[in-house]
Amino acid sequence: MPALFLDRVANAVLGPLDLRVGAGEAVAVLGPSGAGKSTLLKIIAGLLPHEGDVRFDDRVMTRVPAHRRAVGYMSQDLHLFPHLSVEQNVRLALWFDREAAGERRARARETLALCAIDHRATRRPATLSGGERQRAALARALARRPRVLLLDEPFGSLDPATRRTLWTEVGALRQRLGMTMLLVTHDPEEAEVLADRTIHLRDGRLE
Amino acid sequence: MIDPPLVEAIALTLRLAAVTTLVTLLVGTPLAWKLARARSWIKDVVVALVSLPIVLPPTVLGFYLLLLLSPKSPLAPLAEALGGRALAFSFEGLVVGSVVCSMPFVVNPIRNAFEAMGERPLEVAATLGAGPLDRFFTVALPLASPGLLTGAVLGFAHTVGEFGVVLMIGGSIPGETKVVSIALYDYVETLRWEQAHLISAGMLLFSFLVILSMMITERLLARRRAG
Repeated sequence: MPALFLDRVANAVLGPLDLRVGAGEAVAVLGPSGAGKSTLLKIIAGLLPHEGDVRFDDRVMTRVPAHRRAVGYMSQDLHLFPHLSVEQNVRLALWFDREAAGERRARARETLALCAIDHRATRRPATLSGGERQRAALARALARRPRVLLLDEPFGSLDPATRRTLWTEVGALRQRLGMTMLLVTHDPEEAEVLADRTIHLRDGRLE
Repeated sequence: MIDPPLVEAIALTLRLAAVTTLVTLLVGTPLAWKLARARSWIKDVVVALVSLPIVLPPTVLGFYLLLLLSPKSPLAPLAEALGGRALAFSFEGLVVGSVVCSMPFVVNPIRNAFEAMGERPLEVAATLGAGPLDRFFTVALPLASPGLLTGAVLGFAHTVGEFGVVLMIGGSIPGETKVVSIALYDYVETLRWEQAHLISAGMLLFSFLVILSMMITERLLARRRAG
């Protein structure tokens, strides 16, 4: 049974499109600008209306709102909440799930350590470097231990060295947490390193 | 030497401004949120209605509010049936009038702050498990806090300085509706220049300090976010 199954999914810029992603599998989505890559991820995350069905583990999610889909989602613009520290950003995601305070604290610290950003826990996002912000956003996306992780060109703004370091770390984290992953990227090398297979989108359709 | 009735007027003004600001924020913040997210043409109609007190002569607004709050108003039987009374020439009536007058000064900065925030932080919060109420209280409100602060300060300051509407629906009843702007008018009418100067200089200083403190607070908020 696929962990993620798209059945005739379509909206104004995408599809109709079928896609199966196995449990624990990492799929890179490549394609030119305007091909519908980000739209695909937003549909899976529940952020855009669409036709067709999105299923997680054979459960139809089409009518399930974004906040009940339990996906991890991270895009290039990150949107760390500027009024909160790094740790508070991570804990907020657990607070939305009404986790107990002790559990929130423990899980947040564990996730910050996993993403190697625990040394910046008390800092505000504006004071972090680009790579640190990326790690903080990743920690926030992973805090709820989502089964599906959606990454929308998350490393595009980083220098090559930091980008490669994060590729290695994200790959290791995905293996460790057993997550299914969809990665939108322009970079074939990034797709090669992080994904088990690659799909190509053009004009909203799979090539 | 401050006239004792003036002290009473100052206390009444501060109470009116505080209650008005609180009510306006409670009503105006959800309204600003709805307006910021609305896409229908009705949005423009509601924004125009809310903004009317900015351009309408206060006496015109006060006249219609007086009719609405008077014992002969069509609403009076409804108010009595609910155990209330007509609110003209009462403190509660002043609150109603001040809330209407202050609404654009509160709603517009908050709406602008919500609009400037955009959809993306809310989308990110949704993917983190935040339902609509969580998104509003834990993301939208904190991100719009400079707009909320500006709205609250402008609403408070505008109520302190309001004259036309207050005169029309409240008159000049000491301890009930006689606020500082009415007291100033009375002092000038009776040629008591010393007390009139005292109020005018006080209002001038108050207005200056309000704007200055708002600017400083906004700068502190921005600096705090920058770490």
